[in-house]
Order: sequence, then structure tokens, then C-alpha cells
Amino acid sequence: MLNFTLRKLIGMIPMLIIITFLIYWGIELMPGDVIDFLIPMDQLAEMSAEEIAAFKAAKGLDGPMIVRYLSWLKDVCTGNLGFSLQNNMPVSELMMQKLPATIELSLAALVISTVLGILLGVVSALKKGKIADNVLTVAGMIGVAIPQFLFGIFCIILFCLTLNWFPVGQRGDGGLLSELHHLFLPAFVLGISQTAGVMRYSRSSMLDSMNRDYVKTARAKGLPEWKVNMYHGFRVACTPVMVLIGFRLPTLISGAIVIENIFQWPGVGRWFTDAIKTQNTPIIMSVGLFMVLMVLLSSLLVDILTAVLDPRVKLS
Amino acid sequence: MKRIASLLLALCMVLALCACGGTPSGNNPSNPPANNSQSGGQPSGNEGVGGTAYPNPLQDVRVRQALWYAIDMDAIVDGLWSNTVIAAHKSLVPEGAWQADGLTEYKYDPEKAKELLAEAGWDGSYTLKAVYYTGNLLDTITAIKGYWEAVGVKMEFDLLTDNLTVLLWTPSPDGVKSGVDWDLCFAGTNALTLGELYNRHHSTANNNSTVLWDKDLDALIDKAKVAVTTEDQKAAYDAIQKYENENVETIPLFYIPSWIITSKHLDMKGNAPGNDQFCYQKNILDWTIDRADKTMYTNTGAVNALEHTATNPGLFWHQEIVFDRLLNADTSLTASDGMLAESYDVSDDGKVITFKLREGVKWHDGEPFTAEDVKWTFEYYCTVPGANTVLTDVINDASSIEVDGNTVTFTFNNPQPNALTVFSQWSVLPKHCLENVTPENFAADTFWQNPIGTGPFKVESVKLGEYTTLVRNNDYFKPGTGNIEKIYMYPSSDAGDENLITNAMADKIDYAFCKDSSQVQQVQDMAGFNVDTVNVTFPRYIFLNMFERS
Amino acid sequence: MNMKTKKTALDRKLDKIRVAEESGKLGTKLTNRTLRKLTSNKLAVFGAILFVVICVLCFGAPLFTRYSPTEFSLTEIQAKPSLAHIFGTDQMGRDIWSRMLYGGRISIIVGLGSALGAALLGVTLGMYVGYLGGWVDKILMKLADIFMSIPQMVMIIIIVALVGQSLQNLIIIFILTGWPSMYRMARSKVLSLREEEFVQSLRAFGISRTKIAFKHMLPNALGPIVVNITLSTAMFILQEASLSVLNYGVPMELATWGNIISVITNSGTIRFDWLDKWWMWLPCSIMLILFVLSINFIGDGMRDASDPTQIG
Repeated sequence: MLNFTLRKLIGMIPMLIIITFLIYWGIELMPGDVIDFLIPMDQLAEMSAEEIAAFKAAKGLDGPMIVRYLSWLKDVCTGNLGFSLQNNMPVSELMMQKLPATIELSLAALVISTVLGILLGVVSALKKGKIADNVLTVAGMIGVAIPQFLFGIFCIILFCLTLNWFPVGQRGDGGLLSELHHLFLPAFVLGISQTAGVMRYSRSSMLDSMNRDYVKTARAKGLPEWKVNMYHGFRVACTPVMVLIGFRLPTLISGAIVIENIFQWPGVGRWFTDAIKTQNTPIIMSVGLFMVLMVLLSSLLVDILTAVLDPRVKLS
Repeated sequence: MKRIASLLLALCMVLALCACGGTPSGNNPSNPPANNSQSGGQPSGNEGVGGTAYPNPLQDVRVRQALWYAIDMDAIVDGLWSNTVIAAHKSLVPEGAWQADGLTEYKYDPEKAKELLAEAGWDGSYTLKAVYYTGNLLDTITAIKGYWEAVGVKMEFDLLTDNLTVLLWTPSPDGVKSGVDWDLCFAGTNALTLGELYNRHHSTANNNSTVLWDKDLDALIDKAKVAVTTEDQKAAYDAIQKYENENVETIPLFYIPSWIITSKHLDMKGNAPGNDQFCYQKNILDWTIDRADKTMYTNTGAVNALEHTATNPGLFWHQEIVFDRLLNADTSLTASDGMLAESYDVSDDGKVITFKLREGVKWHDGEPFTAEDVKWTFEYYCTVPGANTVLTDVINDASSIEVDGNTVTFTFNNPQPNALTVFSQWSVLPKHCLENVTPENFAADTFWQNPIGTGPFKVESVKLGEYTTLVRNNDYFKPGTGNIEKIYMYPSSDAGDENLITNAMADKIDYAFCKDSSQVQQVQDMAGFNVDTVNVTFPRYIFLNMFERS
Repeated sequence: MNMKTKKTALDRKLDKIRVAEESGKLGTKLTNRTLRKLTSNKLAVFGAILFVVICVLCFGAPLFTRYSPTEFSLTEIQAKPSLAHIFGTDQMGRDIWSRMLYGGRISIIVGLGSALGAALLGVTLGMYVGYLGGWVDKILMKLADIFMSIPQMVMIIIIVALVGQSLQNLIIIFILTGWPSMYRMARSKVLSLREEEFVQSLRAFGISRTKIAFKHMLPNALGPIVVNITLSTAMFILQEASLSVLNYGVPMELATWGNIISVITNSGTIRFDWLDKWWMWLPCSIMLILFVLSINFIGDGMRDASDPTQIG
């Protein structure tokens, strides 16, 4: 296991370098010049070519792209994520301001969608063909068909404007209660909109495991029905669901862009889209790096988890 | 069966590819119907385009006038803007002291537009290419497109998002060929002085991408540049307005004001809301707030950083009240009395301005404020890339800035009509904090995470993108009578405050700057808020590119 | 007991079938089993009817509305539903019903076109490369992994920033982000089909690999491909709407479902004063939801129908 993990980790390094290079190249190819976003238009029109060149040189925005990429890479290896072009703030510090908001939101949503999804999925599998199953299936499909932002708006109309239960958007200011009060609705909306997928997945894997021979054997042995379902059916059905959750982990950082907008949540998603709009290379690169790292690490985690949960799988 | 199905699938895929490849023009409802009067290929005889006698139809003044007459601006302002903006029918300058008398009014008159187009020989074969760069003009442009179609003028439009300076304002290289690739640009200017509106129409202006080089217009603009007294300036700008009004160098659409929203909690003690783009005397230390925490909630907090003061002098709260300027301005932005300067004196020829500075003023970090700070600040501003040209035009003309004890003397080569405006708008910065910062890094320096000024409020804490708080400066040289101890600022950029409405709904806004007409319409429906339309207005207008596009 | 005289009900039934078969009445049915299973699924039938109705409404738009989607009237802005405008008018006085229908055309074309394009790319690659294997397959598999693991919205936003906003670009972007799932599915199908006897024997006959892959293996993989296309169509239509809200979608001047609905948002956040002017956004939202739902019903029904382990 350790050997496998180490080998995978080392294999990630070339992958990371290639992907970050591609992102850097992509930013270079974006239409427009980063200077447009650093100097107001009317003032920029008044500047001469020499002044603009001097400005770029001072900001380290000149020179061939490959050189700049390598120096970025070197900085990252020494733990320096660079400085935001707009305000010279260390990106790592900015990241520490934005990350908690997003992770708190996505994690809450992940918990909601996982618990609810598995619960409903298992119920629906155990009641296969009955009314409960049909209702849940149709409800899940409707859930998938409603765009996230519309669901958010419906919830705001109902819970904030009509019932006055929750504040409309933004993060709470200080105090656990205020934080939770603000967090609940966006997390609920994000969580519910992800539930349908988990539910469908856990239903089918539960059904799958219930048809296996060892479950039938357990039942034949005369074990109580709930014990059969939980110990033998559910435990094996968990593996694919865990895999699904593992693949969801990368979205912790950036899976909530729409919800962050609708609920005015000061998270990474909005920050990142703003950075793309203004071609703020150090921020795009850092968030991109984090995202890719999350992706690679979670796929590794999934591999390990599968091996731990499912005794038939051997890591190679 | 399976074979048929796979054939069908393949067919679908081919169809899909066709659909991606070309514009599905048959299904594109916004394509205007083809105009019937095609001029049969090449116009015979002359090199005119679209039936006119000119290589660029917009060079014909009758076409330009017709375009203006064809727009029902009153209906647009009423229908699309709920009358939150003011229609323009005459000039880039709004009605008031500075608008010239006797200008032709271009009221909606489609028949006249058709006549003028017919006179010009317009045959409808030319499609105007328009660009715009602010999203909130989309409905207006769509409406204008409709009005023009009704008189037989076709237009296509595109949103530009990048590289605006190059794509919009690259000047003509030779006075004949165009430096840009469009006929019309829907744009706007937030000008501090009328010069900012008209200087760009000069043949030597390096952002004139639209107005043909014209000696008569150049002469008028030059005259306005050197006018010193208010009367001379007024006369010069009247002449420019008349000339542009007859020749339709641009089509003014409407003046977009900005708004200040105040809550029932705030009492401004009779101070006018004034102008939200620039600095003026607000006497904020006299204001009272009816909240237990003695906090005033507002916007313009830091998103990425608190904005520096070299470009926009007073767009954000901190620029106005964390810093002081040498002079106070009244709500019409005319210098009124001294602020950091106890007194000031302008020589008779207007070339020498002397400031006697207040004694005992301290920066928020305790360092004393000195005349050296003043000299250094204005010299430094001129080296900052992107510094406002109103500021740099004045200061770059100074032959010397001399410090003597607590007096500072600016000596200029030429009379500077804008000098007092500059000293009432651009704040003085602490030399001891910034002298080691290169001008290129000025805007992004960490000083702007926690700026130090001399103003009535000082920065307490900044959490980027979440809040910025200011606290009362109890050592301020002019203590006030109000009770506001703290100012809590929600983040917003110069593009607007997207959280304004939710904050207002939560009763967490006492004084807010607002530039979005749709937000104003929303706040007007809420109880407990007062909306003031800021009396200084900025034009939105159409640039008409009269150079020849290749 | 006399076996000849005592026939069970089942025996009688089987006898009947035998008689019918022998007299040639049974023959092969015109519809295949999959289709029969599909038509017996009520939800799928309901979805199909809904789908056809909405498509007919949108593509036959001139038959159902006398207004043009771009014709505006500044004197009738934000008008409530009435006989003249059954869903009222929008902020420019344009007829909303007409915009919904014409906008549906573009939304459906975006959704369906992108899904078909992604299928064409992904399936072609998956069928051929998956069958051949080798380093091209390894690279494509890795690429598909990367594409699938980056949140789609983020990737779309990055590519939109790169290539700019337009209808064609959006379709191309959707194809670029949609092909990996098709690729993986086609590839796994090919890998299992490769070991089937009929493929082995075709190879033994020396038939070209291209021909085997597309002529003999593709029809066998068709079921899941069609299911995937329907479900991706729904997903792309939803994404188009979300992108409109973030101002990254089809240019606002084109009517699409997403662009119509996004009037209630103002650069991402909600426009509260228009929430109670429900006709400006709610009917169109419902139409979008119904359309996506109908596709999901069809796709789900097809999945069940094409699954041989479920006997319907």
C-alpha cells in the first residue's frame, strides 16, 4: 500500500507540471492584455508605448512566456505562490481568506447530499417498485431538471422573502449562530441539487449488491432482514458511493460558482471568475494548481478507499 | 434494425456538425430581414458607399443628423430606464450653466430622418457595425437598432470585453484611414472637466479614433484649453458645442446620473449629497446616526485593495475621508476654502499659487504633516502610470514647487484654469510611507491595504472582499458635532455594488453610492430609504467613426 | 390420471401459440423488444409526448405566435399577461411567449447539437482507439480523466474567456467538455465487445479493423450511446442557462431560454424588484424544466429498456 501510494505521488509531478504549463499558456492566449485591467482605459489611452513597456517590466510581465512560467514554477517550489497583480497581496494570504468560506459551504452541502442521498437511495432500493420508490425516482429527476440558480431563487422567495426564516445571502459576521444562520440556505440548495445523483447511484449499487449470491446466502441462513440489508447489502453498496464522493472532492474548491453568485457568498468561485476576467495570472495559477492537486489526490484516495472497503480489489 | 439506427445516428451527427459549423441563420430570430433595395453590386460612377457620395457614409452630415433624429430618446429613457436618466437632445453637456444657448434640438422625427437619408442618397445597402463595452446599454442599443431599421438603416452590434483601449481608441494613422474596425461605439465618459469631453476630438489627440481631422474644430478646442477665466472658458465651450451640434460629431443619448441612497437612521445635518465621483465638503464629523453601535453602514469597501488616489480622486469613501486635500470643494466642485491649507493665494496672472499650511496636523500614525509631503505627493503623482490627465496636465506645467517652512508655492509656465480643481480633488499622501515605492507599484502597494492619511476617519481593519472599517479620528483639526464613531463598509468596486439590495433589505445600509439604475428602481420600492439623484451628470453617447474602414 | 384429457391453462395457451405460429400468423413483429419495453414505460411515453410538443412549438414557432421575438414596443414594457400577449411582455415590451418559442430553438440546438457533436467525437475516438489500444489510448484516457475531474463550469468559463462568447463557440466548448464521458463509455463497451466471439471470427476472416469497429461493433454499443446523448442534451441545456446567469453564455441579444430567464439576475445576483413580475421569468423557467424533465424521462426509459437484465 505504502509503495503504491508513493509511486502514485511521484507520478503526479510530471502531470502537475504539464497541466500548470497548459493553464499558463492558456492565460497567455487569452485575448486582450493584462495591462487593460491594471490601468483605467482613459488613462491608458494617454500612455506612450515606452511608458507601457516600462510598466510591464516593473511588474514582471515582459519577457518570453516560458521564462516567466519557469520562474513561477521555481517560486511555487519554494512555497511562494506569487502576488496578486491588482494589489500585491501574497496569493497564499488571499487564499486563506477565501478558502474557508467555500470549503465550509461545499462541505456542508457534501454532507447534506451524501447523508440524504444514501438514505433515500437505500430506502428506494429496499422498496423497489413500490410507491415510495417511484415517488423518489420522479422527485430525483425533477431535482436534476431544475437549474441550481432557479432552485436557489425559489428557496430565497420562499424561505427569505415570504417566511423570513433566513437572511438573503452573504456570510455571517462573527458568532457561530450567525454563521450557521447564513450558511444553512446556500448549503441546503447546493446539497439538495447534488442529492439526486447520489441517491440514484446508491439505489443502483444497493440493488446490485442485494442481488449478489452472498446476500442471498445470508438471507438463506436465516439472518434477520435488517441485518442482511445493513451488514451485507449496504456495506458493499457503500464502495461505489464512496468512489462517487471521492470524485466530488475537487468540487469542494470550485463547484459552487453559481450558488456563490446567487447567495453573494465571498468564496473562491467568485474570486476565481473575477481573476479570469482580469487575467490575474498568479491567482488563476494558484487556484488552478490547487484544483488539479485536489483532483489527483482524490483519485488516489479513491483507489486506496476502494482497496480498503472492498476486499476483492488489490492495489497494483 | 440496428443498421438503420446506426445510419440514422450517423446522419444526426453530420447534421449536428453542420449546425455547429455555420451560423444557423434560418433559426436566428435576431437577423434582420434582407433589405430590398440592393444597389446592384458596385455603385456606379462615384466611390460612395451605401448610396452616399462618400467612401464612409457617416462622413455625410445628413446621415449623421438622420441617425440622431431617428432615435426616440424620450421613449427609451421612460421605458428602459424608468426616467432614472435624463435624455440628451442637444449636447454632451447637460442642461444648466455650461450648456450653450441656441443649439438645434434633435427630437424624435422619423420623417425628417427619412428625408435627410433620401437627400444623402442612402440606399440601405450598407450595414453599420457598432460596438459597446458596458452590458447595461444592451437594451438601449437593441431599441436604437429597431428605430434605425424603421428608417432603413441596418446595424449589427457586438460586445467588446478585452483590449478595449486598442480596439476602441487607436487613432487614425493619416487622417484618412480608420485605426479601428467599427462605425459606431456606444460609450460614455465620466468627465471632471469639459476638456475631457472635447479634447479627444482634436486631430492630435492620441485617443481620437472617430472625429475627422478638422482645423476649425482644432482651433476651437485649442482656444478652450488656454482660457483662464470662467467667462472665457464658457464662451470657448459654447463655440465647440455649437460646432459639434451642427456637425453631429457624436450623438449624445442621455446623461446618466449617479445616486446616493440614505437610510432613515442617518442625519446628514443639511449637508448635500453632492457628487459621488469626486471630493467635496461633506462635514461628515457633524453627521449623526440613530444606531446603538454608532456605526454608519455603507459601501465602497475594499474588494482587492482600497483604490489609490492618483486616478479617481473621490470615487470611494476612503479616498475622501481618510485623506485630506489642500482645498475644500463645494458640491459643484469649485474650490471654496482651505482644508489642509489654512489659506491660499493666486497671483493676478494665474501662474503662481501659494498655500499656507495648517500647523499641528498629524498623520494617523502620529508623524507630523509637513509641506514636504505636499511637494513630494504632487511630483510623485505625475510619475504614476495611469494618473489622471487633468492632474498631470496641470502639475507637469509647473516650473517649480518650492517649500518654505509651512508654505508651498507652485509656479506654472502658463495660466492653469484647472489648478484649483486639482488641489481640491487630489489628496496629499504621506511621503514617509511611500517614498520607497516605485511608481509602477504604487497602485498595488500594500500601503493601500491599510492607508494612512490625515482625514477625519482612519482605517481600522480591512478584510478584503468582506468588510472595511474606519474609526473616528479624534485628533482631527476640525472636530465635529456628530456621533458616528465607526464606518462599516461593504466591499464594492467602481463597477458597482452587487450586494447593495440585500444589504438594504437587511437594514445594513445608511449611505450608499449607487450607479445602477435597476438598483435605484428596487430601492425606491423599499421603505425607509431616500434616493438622491446626484446633480452632476455624465453623458452616454455614440462615437461616429468618420474615417475610412478598410 | 389421464394426461391427455386434463390440460392446464398454461398448456392451452402454449398450444394456441403453437397453432398461430405454425399457420404463420405470428411472424416477426415490426417493432423490436426494446421499443415495446419503452412504450410500456409510462414516464418515458409522457416524456416523449412532452418532448415532441415542445419541439413542435419551438420549431413551428410562427404558427403559434404572431409576434416576432425581436419586435419591441417601449410603450408596453413589463405588461402583465393578457389576451394580446399570453405571457405578457418583457422589459423592452417584447412578447415573452414568442421569445420563449424562438429562444427554445436556439437552446434545443445548443443542447442537442453539443450532445451529438460530443458523441461523434467521443464515440469515434472511443470505438477506434479503444479497439486499437496502445499509447494513443493511454494518452486519451488520461486526458479524459483530467477533463472529467475538473469541475465543468470552471473549465467552460476558462475556455469562454479564451475563445470569446458566441453561439458557435458555446457549442464547440460543450463538445470539448462533453466528449470524455462518451469516450470512456464507448471505450469500455469496445473493450468488452472485443473479446466476443463474433469479433474474434471477423478478425480471423481478415476484415479491416476500421470496418470491424464501426460496422460491427458500433451497432452493438448503440443503446448506451443514445441514452448518453439524451442525458447530455438535458445537461447542456441546463448549463447554457447557468452560463447566461453568470454572463458567460450565448450573447444576451440572442433570445435563448437561459437569456430570457436571466432577466431576474443582475450580474449574478438576484433582481428582487422583478421577482413579483413572474411572467418575465417563470413561464420560461417552467418550459425549460419541463423540457429537461422530458428528456430525462426518455433517457431513463431508454436505459431501462436497453438493459437486458431487466425484463419488461
